[in-house]
Amino acid sequence: MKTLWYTGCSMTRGDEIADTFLDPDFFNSDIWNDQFDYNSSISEEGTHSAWKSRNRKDRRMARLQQVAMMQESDPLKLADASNNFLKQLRNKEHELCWPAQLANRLGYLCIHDGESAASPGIELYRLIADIDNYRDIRIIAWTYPLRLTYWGSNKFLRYDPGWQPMHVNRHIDNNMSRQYFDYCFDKKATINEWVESVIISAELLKKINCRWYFTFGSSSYWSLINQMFPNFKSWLAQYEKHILSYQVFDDQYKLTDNLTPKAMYAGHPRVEAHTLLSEIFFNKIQNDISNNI
Amino acid sequence: MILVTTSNNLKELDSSNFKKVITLKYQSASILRFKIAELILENNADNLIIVMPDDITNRVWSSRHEEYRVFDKENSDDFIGHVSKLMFNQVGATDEWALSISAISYAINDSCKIYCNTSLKEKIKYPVRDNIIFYNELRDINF
Repeated sequence: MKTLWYTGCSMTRGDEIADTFLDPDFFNSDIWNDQFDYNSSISEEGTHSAWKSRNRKDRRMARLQQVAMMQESDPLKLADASNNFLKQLRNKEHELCWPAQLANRLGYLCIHDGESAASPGIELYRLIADIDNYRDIRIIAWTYPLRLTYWGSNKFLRYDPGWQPMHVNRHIDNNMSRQYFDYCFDKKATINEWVESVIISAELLKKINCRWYFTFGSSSYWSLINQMFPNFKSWLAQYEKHILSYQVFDDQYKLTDNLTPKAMYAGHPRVEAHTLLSEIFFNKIQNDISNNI
Repeated sequence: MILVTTSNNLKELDSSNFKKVITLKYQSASILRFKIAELILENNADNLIIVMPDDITNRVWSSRHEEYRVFDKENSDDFIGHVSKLMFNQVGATDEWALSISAISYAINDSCKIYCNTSLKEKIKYPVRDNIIFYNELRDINF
């Protein structure tokens, strides 16, 4: 079976998109009651801290775990219920994210190599680690240029010790990492890593046998990137046919701006956005395949 | 031909025949990787002769100095010493070196070559192209 490999961050791997499948009452649950902004347009105002706050992430997870517990009648199996629920959630996200829906439309097997919070460096490293495997299509959904990659010796989110992302919102695991963060984290560092990873990946993909595509996240960073690297735009122009979107995260929110709520509780795009995106990208890739582009 | 290497390596290399020499201050494969990306961006990455650094170090951005620096288990330069030494991980630094030589090997075009110390051959754990030449001693390299 032909394969479609992708890497990307939570916006691509589909964080939150399965919430309403495993908790059908999720949109009606009381966690929304004291929130006032679920009708504000993310495509116009951005997520900022209102949607993507730590508080909302915690409340979402608490709600989902509560539902999992309530569905289990045997008190001795409550812990298992919670763990199984998370596994079901991840599996469903893998099934519904746009790369998986795109692969499904093409009749390909989707190889998931994306992870929540992924940094540009981690996306590059995952590509390098996978080069020896033949893939018919490779897609890198470039994340926000606001992250750095470093070697962490403790587990972080779903990352084992090893290459881990460092975030602008300081999701770091201990005081030592915090000092490291303070030393190295700034706009120049994050843009450097982003630009380096994009360039190296494109030149690498050009040399291996596969069809490949990039998506870029948000339009709001292009001016900074072009300011720091004036040649980047002209360099990227040679790969125009490989670019599925220059602002896919913005597009995801625009696609569901007519719905209520406009995004999932902790700020990620709704599943409808993934379905619509997969259709748009399918049309482009199917055309490329038909015309041998 | 353009030679790209580190200042330490350059001391032992015969660079007299190169049109241009690009020298990096620090011994870091991933700083070299970043330099290659910059050269590609400037459309200045043809006919490169790259001599990899031997040291196994971690790259770190210094916000204060606005440049990449390195740290390893012995040497932290100006970087807050106790943090860099504690953050240093031999496995991680070796992986950084291995990822970098693989990235460079694939990123450069066919007119370029990479020179790498034979003693590091076993540390290459990711795919590379057929553009790496191994040497035993820097001074013996005959470009």
